[in-house]
Formats: sequence, C-alpha cells, structure tokens
Amino acid sequence: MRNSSHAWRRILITAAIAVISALAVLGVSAEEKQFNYWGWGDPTLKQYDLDTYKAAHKAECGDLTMTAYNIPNGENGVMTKLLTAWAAKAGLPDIVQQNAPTIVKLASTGVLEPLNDILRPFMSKLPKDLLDAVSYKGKIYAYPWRPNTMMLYYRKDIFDKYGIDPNKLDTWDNFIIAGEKLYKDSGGKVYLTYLPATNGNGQFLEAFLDGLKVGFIDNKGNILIGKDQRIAQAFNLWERMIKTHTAVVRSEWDAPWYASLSSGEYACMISAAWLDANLKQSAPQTKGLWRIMELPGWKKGQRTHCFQAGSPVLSVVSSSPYKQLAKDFIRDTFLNSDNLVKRAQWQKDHNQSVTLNLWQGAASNPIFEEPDEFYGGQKWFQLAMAYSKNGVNLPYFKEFTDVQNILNQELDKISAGLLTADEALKEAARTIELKIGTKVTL
Amino acid sequence: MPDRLLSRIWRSRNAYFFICPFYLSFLVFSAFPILFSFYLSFRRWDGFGESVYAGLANYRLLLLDERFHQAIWNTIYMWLGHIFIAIVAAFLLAATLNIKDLPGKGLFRVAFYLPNVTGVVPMALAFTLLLDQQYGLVNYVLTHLGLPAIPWLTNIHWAKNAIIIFIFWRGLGWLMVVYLAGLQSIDPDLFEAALVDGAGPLARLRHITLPSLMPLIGFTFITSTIGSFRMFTEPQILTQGGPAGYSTTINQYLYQTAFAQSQMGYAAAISYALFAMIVLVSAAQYRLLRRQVEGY
Repeated sequence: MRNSSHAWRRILITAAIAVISALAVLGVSAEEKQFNYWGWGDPTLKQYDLDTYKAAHKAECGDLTMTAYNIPNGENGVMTKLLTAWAAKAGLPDIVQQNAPTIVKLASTGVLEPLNDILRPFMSKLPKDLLDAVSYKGKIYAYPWRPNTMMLYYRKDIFDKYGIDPNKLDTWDNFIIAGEKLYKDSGGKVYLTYLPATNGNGQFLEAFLDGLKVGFIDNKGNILIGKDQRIAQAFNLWERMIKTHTAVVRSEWDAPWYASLSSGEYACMISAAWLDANLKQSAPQTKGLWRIMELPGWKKGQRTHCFQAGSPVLSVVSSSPYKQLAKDFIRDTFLNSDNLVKRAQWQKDHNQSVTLNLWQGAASNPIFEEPDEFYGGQKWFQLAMAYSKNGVNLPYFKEFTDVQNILNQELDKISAGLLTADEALKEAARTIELKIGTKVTL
Repeated sequence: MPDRLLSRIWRSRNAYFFICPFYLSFLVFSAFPILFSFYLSFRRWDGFGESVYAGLANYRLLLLDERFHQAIWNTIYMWLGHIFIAIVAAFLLAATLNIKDLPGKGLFRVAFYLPNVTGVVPMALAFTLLLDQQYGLVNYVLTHLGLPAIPWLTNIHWAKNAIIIFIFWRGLGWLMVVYLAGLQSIDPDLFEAALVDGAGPLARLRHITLPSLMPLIGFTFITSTIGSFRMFTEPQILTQGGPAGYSTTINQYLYQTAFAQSQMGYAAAISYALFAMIVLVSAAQYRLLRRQVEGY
C-alpha cells in the first residue's frame, strides 16, 4: 500500500515537471514570432507605426505579432530593462528607443546594429551633427526620429504686460538684462525663466555649449572640462542667471512643475520640441498665450540652433532575428514623405500633437504648414523645422552621461549658492579626473 | 560515516524536497547576488561589455569620492535627526494611549498607525505637493500666519529636514504600537506594589516602566538605525537626492552609480561599504545597549 502511494507521488511530480517544461518550451517558441518595440511615453503612435508597416508589408511580416511597449520610468527604465535582457541574453526587443547620448556606449559593446545601409541615400539631407552624435567608428547606430530641437517658448501676455520685446532677446546678455528688468518691474513675482533644481538631463548647459560650439571633449578625446574657457563661460552664464534673478530654481516633472506651465511664474522656457505636447496636454487653458522663437546666441546675429540630448532615437538590437525588417520599418516610417503625412494626419485625428520629424522631405505638405492656434497662429511646425536645419549637437562618447551627471551636480551647487561658477568648474574637473580620467577612447 | 549521512539524507528526502524551494530561491536571489557583488567590487563593468579587473581601485575611490562622503553625512544627519525624537514621541504617545479610560483611544491608535500601512510612494508624492514652495498647503498656512514660505524641497538645508519630518511622521505609528504592546505586557502587580510603597508617577516610570521597556527600545533603536542607513524611497521621491546632492543617501548614491552611471563595480564596492557601516553601527549599539536589550 505504502509502495503504491510512493509510486503515485513520483508519477505526479514527474508529470508536473513535464508540464512546466513543456509550457516553458512553448513560451520560448511563442517568443520567436514576436517583434517588440520598446520605448517610453504613449505607445499608441508607435503601435500605429507598426500596424501601418505590417499592413503594407504583409508578405514579409507574415504572422509576426508586432507590439509597441511603453516601458515605465522613461529612458532610464528602458536602459535598465535593456541591460538586464542583454545580460540574460533573453527577452531582448527588436527595436529600442533610447536617448542619443547612450548610443555610443551601446554600440561599443555590440548591442546595436549599424543603420548605414538604410540611411545612406538620405544622409545629405539630414543634420550631420545629429547623425555624428549617434555614430561609433564611422557607423551610424540610431535614427533620431523625433529631434528635440531647442527653442524658446515664451508667454506673449506676460511679455506684453512688462514691455519685453522678444526680438531683443537675441543674445544671452540681452536675456539677462530683460530678466533683471522683469524681476524688478514685477516686484519679484515673475522671473524670465527657470533653471531646474536637480538638472536631470542637462538641456540648459547643452544649449549654452552648443551656442559656443564646444563639447565636453575635443576630437582627440581629451576632456575639456576645466581647460576650455568656453565651458567656463557657460557656467558663468548659469551663475549670472541665478544672481540677477533672471531665472528661478525649481523642480521639474512633478505636479508643481506641471502647474507652473500655466501659472505665469516665469515668462519663458528654454526647452525643446517635446514641450509642445506637454503644454497642450497639461496647460490647455494657456492656448493662444504661448509663442516660440529661436534661442538667443552668444553674439548678435548668431542665434543658437541645437538639439537637446534627450532626443529619442531608434536603434535595431543586434541580436534581433528580424534585423532587416526592423531597418526597413525605420526607413519606411520615418524617411518616407507620404507615410509621414499620413502619420501626421492620424495624430491630428487622434488629438495628438504632430511630431516634429527629422526628415524634411514632407515639410512643404500643407499639413505641416498649418497655423497653430495654441501659439496664436504661429506655424509651429515650420518654425521648428527651420530651427532644426544646421542644428548642432554635442559630440557623444561612452562616458558622456557620467560627465554630464557630474557637471549637473556642480550646477546644482551654483544654483544653491554653495559655489561660484569657477569653483564648481574646478570641482567638476577634479571629480571627472578622479572617476573617468583626462581622456576618453573614441 | 558518509554512508550513514547519505542514508539519513535519503530517509528525509521528502522533507528536503519541501524546503528546497526556499533554499533554491535563497541561493539564486540572495546568496549568488551577494557573492557576485563582492566579485564585482574588484572589477570595472558598465553592465554591457566585459568586466575588467580593477583590484582595489573601487575601494580607493570610496576614500576620495566627495559625493560618497556627502551621502554618508546626509544619511547620518537624517538618522540622528529623527531617531531620538521618534523614540521619545512614540513612547509618550504609547503611554498616553495606554491610559485606561481614555475616550476614543482606539480611533487614535488607528490614526497614528495608518501612515505605516499606507504605501510610502503615494504618501511621499502627497508630501511633495504639501511641501511645494509655491503651491504647497504648508507654505500657504505659514504665509497666512505671517511667516515666510519655506523652500522645503529645494533648499540644501531644508531638504534633509523635510525628509526627516516625513520619516518621523510615517514611522511614529509603528514605534507607538511596539511600545504600546510593551506597556501592556508589564505585570500590573509591579505597579500596585509600587503604589503601596508610596512611589509617585515619576518613580514608577523610572523604576518600572522604562526598565521593562528597555529591551524593546533597544530593539527598535537598532532596527530603525538599520532602516535609516538603507533609506532610499523617501529622498528619491521627495527631492531626488537634491538639491546639489545634499539629500542623497548612501543607498540612493549606490543606485545612481549603478543604474544612472552604469558603474557596476564601483556600486558593488559602495554596497559593501554600506554593509560594513551597518554592521559596525549595529554592533556598537548592541554593545552599548546589551544590558538593556537582553534585560536584567
């Protein structure tokens, strides 16, 4: 009796293990017919892109299930998930959206597939700096599908109230003069702009450096922090903005920040193309009050045209079994004028802000020339595309985000009044030398 | 001998089968990461490519890294800033809520304990709204009382204090419940005997209540210290470790080093440094409070 109950127990356990193993194998098999696209933000547009591509390429896609995923925690969340999947060599996506500064690191460790074959016919019409920024050893590893062209968003009502002429904000010096005047005239209630309390993505420093045409490294990989006077100039501008009350220091991406988009706490924002969607969603009551213009420059007649490092880019993962399909998807979705027009129409039909495209082949289509009531009838799209032409971008390298994080922390210390610009820069140079060295490998 | 051991193991195979899931998951999710982190702390690795042997470079960097030193100071400040006040406040609260005929004491107990069972993330998010300099309710009240608005979350001095206020408010309930249980377990005969001997309230507190409660106080002191050194969620949500890194805790710095800067080897070294600090501080506390923790 006892022997037969032992035997039954063994049979049951063996059967359970067999079922679990079969399920695991089936799971693995099922994964092979998936085409996965990882990104952050609203996945509906990405899913539309995949569905449109699949409908137009039925033979190639077959019974492939193409899915766009919104990974929580933005670019950091995508990076962490990608890192985990790469280490496990399982669960990797086919296409991944990342921020441009991470591409060199990913490419250097073999995670990404070069895209030169699909981009070659279009390269003469794409901003060179932006493609160089996502290149490694002469090969391009990502496509900047939504360039974060930097621009100044300003509140016309506040400018009119305090007599600020936007055309006079053509240099950073004039920007500071206007900021001081605004703070005084408003009795300390309104600032010209804000600087982030914990400068997460460094977009303000980038804008200053892009205007000075200097990056963190030279073309031999020598780190320029603490050595190039232009970087000191950028740090000094940051300090001047705080000391003259041109800028208020505040947090970003929290409920109070969203509230400040409509409160009139500051008269303008140094930002990028992505802000358009945020303003329309989070501050619809300010419709008609905002305008956009080019960023000031360091000298008269030399406005700053640049891209913010948070520009999301698309890459093909090297381990994908559908590499060619992924590349064709990128080309057909983002470098085809007809598809870009249809895409823009779909966004309008679904009450989404039309995404700024890097490819300007469709720029003359009426859908991209419509006046935008949110900006008082300005042709936002046309202006943003014009600002994208000849835009500059900081050169990226493997340790770029590490250097940027160190600089951001020093900028926070300037904002907090702990250090002067010169002291902060010296400390940054010391920390960078300690943690990274004086030269990087290109 | 090995045959006897093997046969004993075989005889108990069913028992081992039932306990093996725990041990397997312990090996995979605890033991292996602990050992691998130790190995990684002697290497340089960004998480993607091959790791490179770095010797003691990561540990040497700990001694030179000012941001790490700042994180240690921030953690100690926030630990000391709340722990003594919390223990005293919780004890007084427990003593008050232990009064026999106090009306509504059940409601008060629930109210004070509620923050402890509510998720820390939504509460911290709510606190960011309450403490916002421009739009927060706290500053609204302060300015209406004629006081200046405080930059709770954006000032280098106030940021840590804001976090202290949050962790004090959140942790008070748990300490209160523990001390309340302790108070209720004191033999009432001791109090009666003391009354008979003419001991007043202060004397009863000093000679009966506190000594009876000391093991619990010692225990909560040690566990709260360990929790303070491991603090991450509160500063991450409230201030993101800013401004200028002035509210970054050691655990936050570890996370930033590993996942924002992809310096896995150095992050592993930080984790072992944190472990060493917790062990040292806990051992020192235990030694000081041994008599009290183990009882008379």
